[in-house]
Amino acid sequence: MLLACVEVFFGFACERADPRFYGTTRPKHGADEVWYCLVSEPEWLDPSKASDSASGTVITNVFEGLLQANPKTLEPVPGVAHGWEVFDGGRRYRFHLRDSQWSDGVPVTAHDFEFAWKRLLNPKTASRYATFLYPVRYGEEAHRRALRISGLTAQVTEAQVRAFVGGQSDIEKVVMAPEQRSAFVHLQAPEGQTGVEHTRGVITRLKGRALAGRPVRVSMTDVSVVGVKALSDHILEVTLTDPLPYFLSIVSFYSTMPLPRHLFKRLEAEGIPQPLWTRPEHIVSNGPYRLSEWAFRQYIVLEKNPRYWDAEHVRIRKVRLPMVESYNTVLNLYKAGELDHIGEAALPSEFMDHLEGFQDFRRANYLATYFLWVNTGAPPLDNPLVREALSLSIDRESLVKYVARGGQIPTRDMVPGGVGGYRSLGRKLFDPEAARAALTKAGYGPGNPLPPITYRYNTAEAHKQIAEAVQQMWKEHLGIEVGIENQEWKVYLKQLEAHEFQLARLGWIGDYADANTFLEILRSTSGNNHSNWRSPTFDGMLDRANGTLDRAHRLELLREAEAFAMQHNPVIPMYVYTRSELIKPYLRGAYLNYQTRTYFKYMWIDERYYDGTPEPLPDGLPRVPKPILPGGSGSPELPRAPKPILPAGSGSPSASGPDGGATRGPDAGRSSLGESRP
Amino acid sequence: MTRFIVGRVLGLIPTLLVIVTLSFFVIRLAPGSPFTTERGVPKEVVEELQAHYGFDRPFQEQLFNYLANLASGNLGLSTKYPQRTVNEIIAAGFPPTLLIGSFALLWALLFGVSAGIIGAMRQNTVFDYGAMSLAMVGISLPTFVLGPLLALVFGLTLYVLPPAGWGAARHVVLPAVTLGTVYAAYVARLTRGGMLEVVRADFVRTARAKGLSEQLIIWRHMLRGGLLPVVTFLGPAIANILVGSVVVEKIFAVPGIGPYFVDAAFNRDYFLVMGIVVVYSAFLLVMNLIVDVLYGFLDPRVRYT
Amino acid sequence: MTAGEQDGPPVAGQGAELVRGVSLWQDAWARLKRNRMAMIGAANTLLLVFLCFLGPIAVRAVWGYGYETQDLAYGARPPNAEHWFGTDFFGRDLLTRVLYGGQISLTVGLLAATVAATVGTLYGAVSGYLGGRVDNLMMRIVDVIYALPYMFLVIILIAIFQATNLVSLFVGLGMVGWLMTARIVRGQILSLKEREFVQAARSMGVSGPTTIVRHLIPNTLGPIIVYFTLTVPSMILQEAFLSFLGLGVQAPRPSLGALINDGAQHMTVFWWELVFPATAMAVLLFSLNFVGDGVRDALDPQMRGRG
Repeated sequence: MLLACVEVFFGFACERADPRFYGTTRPKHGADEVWYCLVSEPEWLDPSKASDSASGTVITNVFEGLLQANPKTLEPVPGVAHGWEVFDGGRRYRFHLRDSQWSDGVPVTAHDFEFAWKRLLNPKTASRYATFLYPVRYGEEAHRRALRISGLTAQVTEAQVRAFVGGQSDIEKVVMAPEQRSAFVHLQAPEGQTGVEHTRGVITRLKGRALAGRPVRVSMTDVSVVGVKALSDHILEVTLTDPLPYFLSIVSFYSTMPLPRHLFKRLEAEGIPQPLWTRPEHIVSNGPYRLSEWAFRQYIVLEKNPRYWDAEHVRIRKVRLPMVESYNTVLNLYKAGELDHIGEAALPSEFMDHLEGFQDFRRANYLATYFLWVNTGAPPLDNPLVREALSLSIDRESLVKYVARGGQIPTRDMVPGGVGGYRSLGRKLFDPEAARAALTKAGYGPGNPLPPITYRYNTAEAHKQIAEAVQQMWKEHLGIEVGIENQEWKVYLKQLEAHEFQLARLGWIGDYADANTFLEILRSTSGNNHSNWRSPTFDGMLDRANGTLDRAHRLELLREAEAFAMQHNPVIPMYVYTRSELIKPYLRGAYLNYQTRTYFKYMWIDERYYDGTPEPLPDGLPRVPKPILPGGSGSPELPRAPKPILPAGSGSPSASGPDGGATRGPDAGRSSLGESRP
Repeated sequence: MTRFIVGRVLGLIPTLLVIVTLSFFVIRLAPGSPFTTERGVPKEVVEELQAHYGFDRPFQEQLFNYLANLASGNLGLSTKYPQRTVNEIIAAGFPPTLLIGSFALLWALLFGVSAGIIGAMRQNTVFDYGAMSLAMVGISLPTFVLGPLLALVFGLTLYVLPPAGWGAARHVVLPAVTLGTVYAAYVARLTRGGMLEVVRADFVRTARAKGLSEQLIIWRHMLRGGLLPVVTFLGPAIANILVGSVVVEKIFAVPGIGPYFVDAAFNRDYFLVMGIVVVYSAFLLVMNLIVDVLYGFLDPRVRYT
Repeated sequence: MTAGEQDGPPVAGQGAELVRGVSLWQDAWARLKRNRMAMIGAANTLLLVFLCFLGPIAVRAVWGYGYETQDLAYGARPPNAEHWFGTDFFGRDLLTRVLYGGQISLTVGLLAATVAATVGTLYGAVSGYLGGRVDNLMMRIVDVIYALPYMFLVIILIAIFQATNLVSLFVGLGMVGWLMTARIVRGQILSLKEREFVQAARSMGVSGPTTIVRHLIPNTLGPIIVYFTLTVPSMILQEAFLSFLGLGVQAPRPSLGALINDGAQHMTVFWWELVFPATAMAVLLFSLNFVGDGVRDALDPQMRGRG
């Protein structure tokens, strides 16, 4: 103690920690500040370009979209739009914007949204989340630069269009757009040629030719045709191809946030390269906070935006976001009071038992499934019985209890139960006898051993532990030897895509709270389907479900589709992820939800903790804005408030690759750790 | 002398050129691309990104462009941190690494040289054995054990130093000590050995015979010869300190250049990898040159030709 | 360090020993025997080798489990009568893992040092023997590789081989470790090749490769052995460093480095996971370093205190 109190130049007070909590409980900063761990350097603070979770956290707090999400339930609630109307059976939305300003005082208008959405869909932007707006009419056509044939008469049929283009190129699909007097044709570029080169060639060759005896114009589709339009400064109208039950969730996701058109124009006039617009010296934003400092790979500081429309309810004035990648370092900093919230850092399973005992430890379910891809293309895994045997002989309860240790939910289904009202299949978790029977039925046994199988994972401690445990279970319950092998992340992904594997782990993080986000990766056309299992029946079942307007019926159809797919075991699910957090008791209003979406504007510091450690109090419900419709309730069809259908936090498979590093990134780290140990 | 140095400096250029070409080739051999991600990105997006970075051009053209840019001091764009140029990234990361490295070296020299002198002057006594055993412990303790241990003791038990972080003077102490200890151990052993070699040399005997004080003999005469092996060791040591900072910077969350040695290669961040290689190699070559020159000052037997 | 004359250890005085021929080795052996620390180190090393290579076999034979046998329900127990070093997170016996890890570390260290010494000796000998432009070019290549960050080389090697197995590991380590040996050997050869006995061999028409293998290399064995013994512990440390970065030996195989790294990550909760492997590593490195120092002092008193 004596030594500890030599404060000479260290400036650290002697701390006496309360044993109920992990580390200090007195804030080291003023009552209007929060220190939250961002883990890694954000790639982009540009809403159209960002795709990693660190960027997502900053953007979510610095910008505000038409809607925002309830921090606890992630239900869409009003943001810049104070209300919305739905027409045409869910195919057309009209958003009514409130009066609000950018941080430089310029008004935020519907045009800023139209600009942002079209920029997201512009292929030049190279956004990784452009697919989010594919449901908007002609969004996919614009982004994929389909061939556009315009000047058509109403009588022209799809067959005629196919005949017109067919001689020049293979056709993926044709979309007829009579109201635009156009047809959009998705071409298939031959090997070794990029899509743009190919389409250009086709345009040159078709130039001047007549279709059905009339001259037509052939061009490359651009974003001007996309179904989003500012009807006035205050009204944005969006047209969708199909009614989409989770569309409002997408609208609360950061990729659809508005962009300051006026800033882009100014920078262009001044000759400053556009990508620099998010630097602190330039950036203009419309959210509760604005970017004040950005020290590369060190920290970001956000300051309250006094021009935010709801600024009076924002209590934290300054948010400090250090980027610390090693979880041990994060824990040390948290313990010493240098962090209030470990944020996106993933905790390793070894620490769970120890940390669970503290009152500042919190846990929430996470919208993600940990599973194995099975390459069904080659023996012995082309045999469904073998897959069934492997799947049934994993003791998922033990796996979660002793290895993952994060309170994860063992599952043998692809879609987590409760997602957007979905009832999980609830397949039997573990049945070693049935597994052995299946293996015997497949013709394997002591006399005829299974050919060698390799289980592959991307290099990370957490995945290694699961692999080792599963390897051991198969040995014990099936008597088979399975090799395990790790691979560095980039190589790993490359081989997944090339189907050069037998069994490979992946975590899939739902992009929005709807079963579809977990099922569509099994579609035969999905670039994310690595199983080699392709079923037109399954594709048809999904299409039928998604074309169904009735919510309950749709979910039932999705469930049938999942049951059909899982019979074939193209994937071996293991558990649903959880997210474990340490949050200082004095930080209030820090809600956990089933994505890593954090809103600082609801947080505040409980000042009682400056003088001691009182009993922690629970946070009530967040105070979120209510929708107000223009002219009272003049809306023809009020959207039935969708139950939590959430847009994504950081959609994707998780790995913990270098990109995420074993301890970084949301996807990455998360999968690897907190959850990492399944 | 001047001719020697100028000649050597000019000689660095072709060496560096070979290094750049070689690494440019080698990094492309590794499978995977900077744009491979877990989420299937539409082909159109990847093509756009390839074109943005010029990866769609023929290999020779890319190399030539890179070299041309390099000649004008432009290291290109990072794919992992798309809003930053490699120049910016390295400019931001180098100072913290250098600062930690310099203090680590300072610690290594202060501690190592003193321990070495004590060991040599009191050869085969308790002091000697004590100092040398301590040095051996330093050599046998990996930095990733020493670092967390120091953080645990000083940061979380005594609360006298921050367990990690960056920005103030007190943040430098633990990383520098962690990084420097193993070098301190080597320096101690080298100094002791070097001093033992000169302790019976003629010029030292002469000095003794002249009746000079022991202090003066040590400082004036012996150290000059005794430190020769230490100087030889410094060149490679500086290089290793740069690479070794990977561990220390991770443990103490120092925003230095260290993590890039590993992460950039993993992320296939081609230009960042190249930038790191270029800067590191140039730095190393210059350090070795300085060591050679320094060697000449300390050892009159070495002549420059 | 460049390909200048001042490379490698000074060679003055070597001539006298050469004349004595065989007695050089006898002399060295006598000196080594007198060095108490070196002998203790050697005995200790032998004991550790014995334990590490036979221990896991004995455990499997007697208790019926190995370094990889898990007992999930019995995870992370502190040392007790049944498991002297405790168990790890998976309920694997830590003592067995430490012994097996020692075996892996020793193997990696020895093999990587052997690769380094072999490649370095041959390269250095050829370069020194041929001299002139070839020598210049070959040494320039060494300079180039030397100036590359070796982490980068190892990662790329591992990525290209698409696997982190033992072979790519020690090849990777060895491939970057041979540079020093090459320089030392070259320096020796440069001065040796002007000696009478080499000139004599040449004038009698002995071919280049034969001269190198028969006459030159045997006379540089001293420094090579010295450098080799010092390389083994440093390779073990390098492997540990790679383990920290997740590039080392892969699970479920442990190396001491990997065990220590795991232990360091979790030392606040499971202290025994750090203490035992770290102690084992320290004892091993201590012993190897003392042997290395002893061998150096015995074979080449000129090198005393270097490295």
